[in-house]
Amino acid sequence: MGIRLQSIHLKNWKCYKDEKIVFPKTVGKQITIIFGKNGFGKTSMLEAIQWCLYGSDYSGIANKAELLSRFHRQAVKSEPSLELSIALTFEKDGQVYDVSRTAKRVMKGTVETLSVYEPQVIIDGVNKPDARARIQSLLPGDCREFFFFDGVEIKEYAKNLHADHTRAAIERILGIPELKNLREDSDKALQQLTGKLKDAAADDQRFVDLELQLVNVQEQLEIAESQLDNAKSQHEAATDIYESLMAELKQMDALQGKFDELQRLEDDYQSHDQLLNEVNEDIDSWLRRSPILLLKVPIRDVADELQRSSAVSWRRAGSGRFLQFLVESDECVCGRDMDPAAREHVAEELEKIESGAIEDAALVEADDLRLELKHIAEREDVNIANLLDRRDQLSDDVNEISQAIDQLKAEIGDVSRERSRDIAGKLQEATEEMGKKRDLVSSRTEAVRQLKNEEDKLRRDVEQYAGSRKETASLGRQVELARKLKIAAQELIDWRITERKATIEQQTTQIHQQVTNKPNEYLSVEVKDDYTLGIRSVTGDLISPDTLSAGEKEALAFSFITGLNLASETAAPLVMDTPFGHLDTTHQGNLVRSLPSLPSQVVVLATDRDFPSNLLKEIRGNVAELMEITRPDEKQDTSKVNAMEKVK
Amino acid sequence: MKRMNPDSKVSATADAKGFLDFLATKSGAFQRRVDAMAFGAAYAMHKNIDPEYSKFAGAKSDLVDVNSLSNDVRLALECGIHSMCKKRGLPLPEKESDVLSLFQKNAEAGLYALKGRWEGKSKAQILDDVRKLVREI
Repeated sequence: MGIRLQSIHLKNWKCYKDEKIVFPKTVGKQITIIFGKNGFGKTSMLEAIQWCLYGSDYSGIANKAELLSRFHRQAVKSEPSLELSIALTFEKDGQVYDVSRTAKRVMKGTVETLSVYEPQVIIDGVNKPDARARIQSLLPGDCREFFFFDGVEIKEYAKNLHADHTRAAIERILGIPELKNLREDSDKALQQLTGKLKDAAADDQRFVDLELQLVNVQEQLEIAESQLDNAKSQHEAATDIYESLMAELKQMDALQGKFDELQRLEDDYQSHDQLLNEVNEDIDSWLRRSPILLLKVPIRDVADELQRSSAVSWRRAGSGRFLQFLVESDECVCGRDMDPAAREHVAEELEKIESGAIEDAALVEADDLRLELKHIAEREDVNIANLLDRRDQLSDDVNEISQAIDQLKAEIGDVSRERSRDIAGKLQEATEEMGKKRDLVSSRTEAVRQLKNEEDKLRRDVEQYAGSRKETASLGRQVELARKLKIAAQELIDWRITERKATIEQQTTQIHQQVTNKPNEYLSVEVKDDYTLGIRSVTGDLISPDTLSAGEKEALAFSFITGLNLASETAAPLVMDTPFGHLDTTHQGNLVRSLPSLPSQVVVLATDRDFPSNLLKEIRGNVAELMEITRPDEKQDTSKVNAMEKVK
Repeated sequence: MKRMNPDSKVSATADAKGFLDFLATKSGAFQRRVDAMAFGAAYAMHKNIDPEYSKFAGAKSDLVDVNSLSNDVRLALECGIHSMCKKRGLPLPEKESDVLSLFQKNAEAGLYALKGRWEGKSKAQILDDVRKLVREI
């Protein structure tokens, strides 16, 4: 193991009054878990480590006011002039490093002032000068996020564009700055020697001519290289657009089934809604007719009454017509002649009937009304109970379909089918544009190559000519050597980056395979030239982190951070603050199970959510110690860190 | 049987109108106020409620024409009025306006009785109650 954190001693820091935490050294057990509820001092501990190592440079405590707020609140009340200090003890290659930093709060009247002292580094009991440089050498501040990280911010490392300081940190891990220095030194030496050579051969016309040609070619080369850079940028931009459209299109393809389902549900909704409206109309119509239903008895009564009166009237009307016939006839119904007395009687009866003034039209109207009432009373009405049941069923169906539509829409998000077609069109354009830019890069690369060859030839000519002259022979050889050194340094940088990137990719891939929940879908993690990441899928696609889920992003970032840590060849301790609690259970399980396989010391500041009891039991065999932050006296605003006796 | 003049206006007291507004707008049980009024009248006649029973007050105002009620419903109401007069020993209406007046009185009486039963109820509850009343027949 590279570097091991042996202990942390916190004095008057936030909620810690005087607390020393010792991390036991147990063979084969590199994990220490410190449990603490929210607000009990987990993040304060991580912050203390960073402040001790890097002061205000990297700890996030940017000014004195912020540092003053780190003094133990209760201690300051009883002792206004107070000292806070953090002391860390590391072990590296058999040597013990004691790193400490102190700040003092002094009250002058009512004004509080603060003195912050330089850090102190003691190696094997000997106080060393240049403490800051030694700390940087032990655990570079640029790379602090690969040693001490906050679980909530971890996915930042999986994003598509790294901040400058992160890129610098990654290059530091790769060992690039040292190689860059070598290249710059050789370049500087080359320039100095070239200057001297020029001075020495200034009176030689042939040399001056060659130099002039060289300068011309170099100027052309500079322009060509700048054009090449520009073309590369354009190609990169076109590629980014293409990749982002491809990612979106893939997302669309994945959503195609959901679009179809949505269409089906919307059609279903429409038909059910229409049926529901029809049933509601039937119910409203029934309700409008409900007075008829309540009044069926009187309707029948009136109809019967009409029938009775119309029957009498019709009978009367029928008799009248018969008597009229008799009055106008010569003989009676029996065939005998009608005698005058009988005829007079019939005429009197006829007059009686006619005095009732019964008209056929009124009789017809009354009979029509009777029939109408009869029809109304006998009309079979719809079964309202069935209608209401049907309405309830349809209403439930409509609600259910509506909920399914809402859920599906939420899953699909803002994406629309129109956008899918739009993307397909844009993708065609982007492919063409990318092809054009690739051709441009090729042609400009070729131009640069030719100019470089020309420059190389002219350099050799200059160096050969200088070597052939007695006065400049030595300088010429030196220039040649410096140039070769510069080329070698560049080749070394390229080789180093390639080699280290391959190591990081290998380490990151190995860890990623353990922590991802799709180990069969992802082949490897690739680190791009700008140190951003991509995942190579089994189908050969390079997946951008942007398209991953939040849990997948964190799994990738965790793999990258630990991969970088391992590749740094210092195997620095990993101190993680609440890293797993917010993940989905699959990723959480994968990440926790991967901890024992890390060769570094791992200190996890955790809540119960980070380690559900089943997971904790799984890795318990690899845990050196379980500790717990407690608050024994709430009035004192003080936290204590104790070893836990039993596994939770 | 005397009938109502289809072109005459149906009117209601301010209180009754308030309750009709609730039935037709707030609860949404009835599509129109006149439908609720027709039901009120039918309810009063069905339950043999005294046409003078209502304590609804306030100025009367016109709602709609009688012919906005379907002919079937109008006939049913007219039959109800005819029977009610006979049952209660009242003189049968001789003029169209008498029938209309009796319809309005019965509507107010029925609505007044229904107010205690339906006020604050939802459309579904009112509909269910109408269903139960009709099932009683």
